[in-house]
Amino acid sequence: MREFIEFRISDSDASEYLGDVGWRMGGDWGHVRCVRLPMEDERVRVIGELNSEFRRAGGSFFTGWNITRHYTPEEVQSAEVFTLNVHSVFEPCGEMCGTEYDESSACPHCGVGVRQVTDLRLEPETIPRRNMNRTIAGEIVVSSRLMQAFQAHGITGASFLPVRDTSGRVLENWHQLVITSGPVDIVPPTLIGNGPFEMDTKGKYRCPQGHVLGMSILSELWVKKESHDGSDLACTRQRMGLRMGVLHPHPEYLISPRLFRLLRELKVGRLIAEVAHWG
Amino acid sequence: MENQRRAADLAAVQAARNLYQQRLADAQAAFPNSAGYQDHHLIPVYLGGPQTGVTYRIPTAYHKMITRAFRKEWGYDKKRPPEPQERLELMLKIYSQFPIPQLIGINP
Repeated sequence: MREFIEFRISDSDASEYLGDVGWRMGGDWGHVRCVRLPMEDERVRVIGELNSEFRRAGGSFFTGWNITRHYTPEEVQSAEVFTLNVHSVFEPCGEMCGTEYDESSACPHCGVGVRQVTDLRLEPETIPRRNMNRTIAGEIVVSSRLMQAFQAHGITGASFLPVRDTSGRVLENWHQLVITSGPVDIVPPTLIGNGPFEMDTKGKYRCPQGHVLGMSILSELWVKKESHDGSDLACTRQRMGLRMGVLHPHPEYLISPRLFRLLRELKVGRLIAEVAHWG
Repeated sequence: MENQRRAADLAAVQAARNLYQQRLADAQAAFPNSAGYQDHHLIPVYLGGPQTGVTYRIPTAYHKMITRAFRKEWGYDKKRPPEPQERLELMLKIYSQFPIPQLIGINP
């Protein structure tokens, strides 16, 4: 496995402190540099130190960051479970289109526990024409083609609910994917932090009731095998992130090797699967 | 002292107005088919801003450019919002490059 980290750094700061590294985004008016480095690269440490210095002065050296992992075919072949990230994202989300939620049982600390009480409502013209998409609030919408493939292959742990437009008309081509399997527990050595150089040692974003573990997972995911009911699709009991506006803390999605192969055969775009581990 | 401060403020506002006109021209050249106006959330909803938050009606092409600038800094596909301080820095960074016209006395 090779691990890479990508930073978004202002073009002027990147030039001044890192020289000619990465690529400038956005043509003539671009002012952001995308710098992608292997995690073990010495410059990653330098970027961390620069960020600490910038922080002391009240700013930050980089804004966005993302960790990605690349696997050999052998590692993929031998994996027993994968995480799934849906990168086809759109808005407005359900809440912005009239979907109703019951917040009465939500955790007062982290907001986990909000219950969707009506069919998901969306603006159909904003849904990307891909087989699996996610709203900015985390609702997952799949095409009829993908739903039928799930059903034909007997994929377990998933069910499908209708999706409606804002007037209440059912959208025949789209379905909300809902996880029906039991939740799976995240276990050590999964690493959780606020950023690539900042472990959440004080538990700033940790829910005292245990619903949310922190802001982001920084390592590969480890989950407790005994908590998994064997379904092809599952999600973690513990969540990551923060309740802010329409955004909610989100679970991590887990898929079996069988579902991984199906999604690959169907060439479902903008999905990122990474190897996870039983702990 | 007060006069000097006012002069500096006026100069900063004038610089922002010039920057806006330049960015607007860039946006209209980049998105020639984007006519009309759209409402822009001052704190973008995908960054955790309230959906009922403050909006400004700005030219569609300019809105697209601001949206792109935000997404370059903070990917749209990230699952979590930035921390509050990160978000503030992000907004300062973007709006220093792409001023909101109403906030510098321009009625778009």
